[in-house]
Amino acid sequence: MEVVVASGKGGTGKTFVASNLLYYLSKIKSRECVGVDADVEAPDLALALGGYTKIDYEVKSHAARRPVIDTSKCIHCGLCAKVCRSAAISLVDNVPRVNIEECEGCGVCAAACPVGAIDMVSYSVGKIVAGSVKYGIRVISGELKVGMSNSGKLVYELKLIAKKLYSNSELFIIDAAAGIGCPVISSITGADLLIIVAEPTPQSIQGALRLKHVAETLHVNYATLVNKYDLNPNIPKSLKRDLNIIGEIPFDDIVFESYANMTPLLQYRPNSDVSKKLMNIFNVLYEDFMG
Amino acid sequence: MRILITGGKGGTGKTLIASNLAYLASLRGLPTLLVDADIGNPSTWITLGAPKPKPISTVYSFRPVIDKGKCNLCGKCVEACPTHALVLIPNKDLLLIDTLCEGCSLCMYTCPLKAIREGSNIAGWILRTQLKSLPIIIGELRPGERREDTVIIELLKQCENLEVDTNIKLTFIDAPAGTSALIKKLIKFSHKYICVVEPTPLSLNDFMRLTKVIELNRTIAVLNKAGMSPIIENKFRSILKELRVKWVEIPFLRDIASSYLSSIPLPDSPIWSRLSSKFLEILEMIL
Repeated sequence: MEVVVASGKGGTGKTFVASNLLYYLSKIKSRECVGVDADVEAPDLALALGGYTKIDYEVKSHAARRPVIDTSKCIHCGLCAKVCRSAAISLVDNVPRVNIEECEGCGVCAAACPVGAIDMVSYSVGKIVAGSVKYGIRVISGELKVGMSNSGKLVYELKLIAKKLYSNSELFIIDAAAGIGCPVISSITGADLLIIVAEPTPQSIQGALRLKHVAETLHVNYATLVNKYDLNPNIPKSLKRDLNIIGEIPFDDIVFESYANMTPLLQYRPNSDVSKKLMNIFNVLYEDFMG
Repeated sequence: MRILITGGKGGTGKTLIASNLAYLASLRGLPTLLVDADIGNPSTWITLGAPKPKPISTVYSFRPVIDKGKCNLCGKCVEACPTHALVLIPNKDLLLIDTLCEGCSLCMYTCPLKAIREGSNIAGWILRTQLKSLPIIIGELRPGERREDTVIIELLKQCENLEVDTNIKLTFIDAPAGTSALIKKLIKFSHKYICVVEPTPLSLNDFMRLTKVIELNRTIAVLNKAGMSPIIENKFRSILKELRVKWVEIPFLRDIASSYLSSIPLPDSPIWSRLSSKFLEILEMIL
């Protein structure tokens, strides 16, 4: 099954929850699981687990395509620039020029060209790396080249490769990007459960509600975990119901400390209050969804 | 002059810094504009406690409209669709799965019978609000929509118009997390950059990614939540020195989180006396 960890607002603790959940499933429940880092613009899941100790697989992503224009065939009609919805083709002295960073690779220009002067070729917008981190946990990460588009397609390809590479794994824990854009939609599409990580701030609650809306559109179950709940312990009951809040963990400097040490908190300080609360929430999730 | 507040990782404090710097500049009499480009979850106005923003324009993206009378169910559009958003039920029907559609319009150009015509779908909105003399314009993505670029393009257009109409001298742009083409577009649109980072190995990793596309001699860094992890902070300091990027450190104070929570701008909050020198230092450095 696929479990996605996402948040709407950035920095609420997605990677914190994903890395500890992986540790919990692998070390405490002895389940076959794989971490999938789908935050391809800022991939940090392996780092939160101490970094890769062994790389088994590395491949350039081929999910994206780009247009190549044969200028000898081009009749300078300008149609390609007109039909492009991403404004990725500009005319310089009537000659079309592709700005690859803006291009979504859809191929409209090639389809519209009246003389067949445009070919679509596949190219790499990033890479996919798989291997093991400490504690023997397997992680696969997508990494977008900085400044590139097509992050959603990279996530789609990442999930396909993860399932092929680890076909005997039962659980895929997907660490999604911040926001609710294309890469996040690609992460959530087809998942069995979405864990929303929220803070009790109006900024984060707005983000969580927007993400919930995306989950409903995609028909994916969701449950919310509130991080740093003691910043504002008075979350209205209606909101608890609305977001399906299943547990709360307090604010504690040791979370930051565990991050700085690149060690999951459940390993770093297993007897801390935060670890105990986190374990309780994971137990509930496990019983309800992953048992 | 346009100043982009970025940083790579989410939750380092971009919105806090962008909102409060813009508010501070406006309080000091500079004609300032705040642009919220974090379209997935725009929250500058919440952070400043500004009145609820009102829509000033709607942004649309393409959606195919299938003329079922003309369509002969040949399936060419289904084959062409790069996101598998069109599904053919052989000899029966052609369906669009809206959440998969990226609005590229390839289906329309592929159809040999011209049975697909241009339709539209709401991609998002541009909204506006105002806090005292500070105007705030906001891009908002409709949940479920993939075309973030269309909303950003419209937001930047509205930003340019407002700058001219109201004689703005200083524009602060709050960027979303990440390092994609959208960020690159915002980098191109801006003149100077503030990278907000926090002392974790993750933030350091994402900041290093950003340094590949940002002009470092036009960049300053804000090391937020300083005091949480001396080892990583020292790493940051030596890297910033090496890159010749100036920086300001903002200490981690639990009260900042409380002020964030209560939607009070920092300059109006009781903790301002402990932070004013830091924010003024950032403002002076960037100007």
